[in-house]
Amino acid sequence: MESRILHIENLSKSFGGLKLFDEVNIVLQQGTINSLFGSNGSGKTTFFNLIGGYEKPDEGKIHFNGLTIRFHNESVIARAGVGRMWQDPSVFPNHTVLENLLVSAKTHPGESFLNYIFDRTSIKTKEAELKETAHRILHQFKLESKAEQLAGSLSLGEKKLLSISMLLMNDALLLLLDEPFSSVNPDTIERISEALLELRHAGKTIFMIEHKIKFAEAISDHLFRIEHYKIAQLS
Amino acid sequence: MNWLHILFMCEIYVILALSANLVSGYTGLLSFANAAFYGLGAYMTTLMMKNFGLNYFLALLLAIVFNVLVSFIITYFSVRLKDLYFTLATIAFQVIAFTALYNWEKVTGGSYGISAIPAVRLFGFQLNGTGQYTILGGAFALVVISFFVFFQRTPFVRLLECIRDRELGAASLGKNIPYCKFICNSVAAVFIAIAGSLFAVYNSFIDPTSFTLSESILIVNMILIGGTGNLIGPIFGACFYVMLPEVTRLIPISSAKGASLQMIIYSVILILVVRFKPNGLFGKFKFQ
Amino acid sequence: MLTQILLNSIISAVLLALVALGFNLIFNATKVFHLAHGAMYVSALYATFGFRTLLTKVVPHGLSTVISIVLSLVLISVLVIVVECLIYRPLYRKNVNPTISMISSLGVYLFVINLIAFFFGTESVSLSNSYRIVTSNDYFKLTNVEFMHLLSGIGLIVLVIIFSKTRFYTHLRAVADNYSVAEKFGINVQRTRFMALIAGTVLVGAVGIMRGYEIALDPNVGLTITLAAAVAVIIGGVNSLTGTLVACFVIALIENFSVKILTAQWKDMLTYTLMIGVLVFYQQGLISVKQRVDAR
Repeated sequence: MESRILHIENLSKSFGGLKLFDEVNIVLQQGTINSLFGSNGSGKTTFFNLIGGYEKPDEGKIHFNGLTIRFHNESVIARAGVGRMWQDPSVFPNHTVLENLLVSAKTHPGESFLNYIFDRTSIKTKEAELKETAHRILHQFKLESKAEQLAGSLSLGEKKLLSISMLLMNDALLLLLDEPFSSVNPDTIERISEALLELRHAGKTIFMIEHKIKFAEAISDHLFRIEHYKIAQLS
Repeated sequence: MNWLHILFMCEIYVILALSANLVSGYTGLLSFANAAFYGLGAYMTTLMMKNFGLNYFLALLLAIVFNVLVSFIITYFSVRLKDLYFTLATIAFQVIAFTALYNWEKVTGGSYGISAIPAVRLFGFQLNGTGQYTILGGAFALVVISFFVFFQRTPFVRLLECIRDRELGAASLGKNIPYCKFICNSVAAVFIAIAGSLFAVYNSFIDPTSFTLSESILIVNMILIGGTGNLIGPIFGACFYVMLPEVTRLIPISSAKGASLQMIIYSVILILVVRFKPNGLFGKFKFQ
Repeated sequence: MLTQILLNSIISAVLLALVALGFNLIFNATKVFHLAHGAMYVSALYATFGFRTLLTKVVPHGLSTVISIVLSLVLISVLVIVVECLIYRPLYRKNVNPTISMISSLGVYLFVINLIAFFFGTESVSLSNSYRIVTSNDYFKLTNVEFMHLLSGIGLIVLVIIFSKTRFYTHLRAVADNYSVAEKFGINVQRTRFMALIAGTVLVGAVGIMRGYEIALDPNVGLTITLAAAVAVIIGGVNSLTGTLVACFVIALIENFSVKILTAQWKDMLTYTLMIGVLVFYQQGLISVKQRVDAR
């Protein structure tokens, strides 16, 4: 049963006098892969920032998974299930690949200070649980061999894969990806495409900004483009 | 060279340096307010003991509570302000606290300070002599060190380090960053209060000149030279800076000039460390 | 009474403005939160004092004063250039966090004032202790020193305004905005940095010397005035010299009016409280998200 995971209603945004969006309306269905195209500077990143809560729209509403976003706070929206990957993937460079995944878990009693006083067993249990899940995900993304390597030493492609797997670990429902295919070799493009398809299969929704139209089209269900301050659906 | 005294001062500064490391090394935000909290801990303990006749440990407890409450201000800064501006705000906070201690004569005795601070009574036994206070200090220092050792490998510290390295990344994973900063600042406030109270009862006299901006800078020096993000760095930094004046004391100049000379040496070290080894000598993390 | 406060405010504003404008120029050109500014303020005074003490043995008093002033301004200019070459520039090349450069600036500040304290002691120093009332009427009293401050201060401000219309200032703004782009346009970034540093330092040194005629200063006053200047720059807007100027007047007014209610020591506290207030409420609180996202 398809449902709307993201519904953007009459969104408008200007930046210091420069209009970017004027009453944008789009709908994303759950479990689909969608691509957003547009020329440089047309505001694609800003658009994702608006959805993610990194910026506030001037007007309009954003509905995600049945909820209307009221507080434009990136942490809160991330907890609701919106994941973000930047062009320069945000992995934690001084920690191992495994640790990166462990820290991506949405809730962990070990991240609440009081539990160290009152409830240490739940911390141990959760940690063991997460390690298992993390290894499974690493296996799925074929990153298992890198588990103990520092994330900062990975190649760009590997970092992107790690970032996507972190979003999976974070139980993100909607993944906003900034140019997942940029600056990586064809092999990695293949791996990332596969990963995204697997995520779709698992019911996640993907929304990506891409310049490599060919690769994006190959896996996307729907295409969008920014033109004249609006976002038009192409298919 | 009174070795026991030096040991005691090392204990106090190890606690201070580890606390400063908790605030700055794990959040990446450099705070210059440490001496203010040190002073507040000292004065609060003193006032509770002298004006209300409370036992040391009870006074300490109240000082801890007070420090934690005041630390909410610093937490607020660390959530609202970016690095440079946070640091500035803590400098301002430090100077304001000092000015209050210095000028509010009615309560703090102003520049005259407070003397004749009662000794510590433990189960009817009164502590006296450097040796016994050193043991008390050692006990507290051990508690603080164990605390940090225990926490080194936990998910909580892992989260703190991630926030420090990529705050935006952590936010995009839904982490509650203000909460983490709150915990760091509050726990540090607890330990700094302990250090302040130890100093007060050991010295039996406190005055504002022990809690100036220079003192904060000294504590920052300790974590910068030793390195942040782990335990060895602050401990080394603390001991280094406690020992250093003992060395300069050997030079035959007046004590006022001696104080200036000390500050000259500290500032040179500060400049050199920041310029050439931003990691500190042992640290894991650069204030990048 | 009111007019007296107003006059005092104008004079303090003028002096603060020179310090703040200098700070503004330096901050814009180098992006360093130049806490060492306060050290230059104090150094100029002590240097003038020192030179004059040496020179009056060989040269008549008036001339020795003039020469000392010039020498000390040259000295602090050289000093700030040394700091730039040894510290600020290498850090700028390494592209460090602004906190780091601020800490190194703090280190320089501490080094210089303690060096002064080591040689001169921490007693206050003043260049002159004779001041007499020059104008007195129902509205205000003005001393000769204050008159000198007013005149020289306004004169220097006018110079700064003229400077802001020159090509060099445009270069400064370009460098402040984006130094790599500025370089591509052929602007000599290093020279701009030097110029801004010298200009700013001479301004603050001049104020130090002027103040030395009015009251005795000790090595520690530098930090407070630097922070007051910083507050002015933050309120007035880092990008705007006029804004800084206006902010100085506002601060001076607040300070001078509050002297009625608070004593001198608490007045300092007011500056610091003001700074916290400005940082927390005015500094657009959080840094703008775009900057945060871009800065990654």
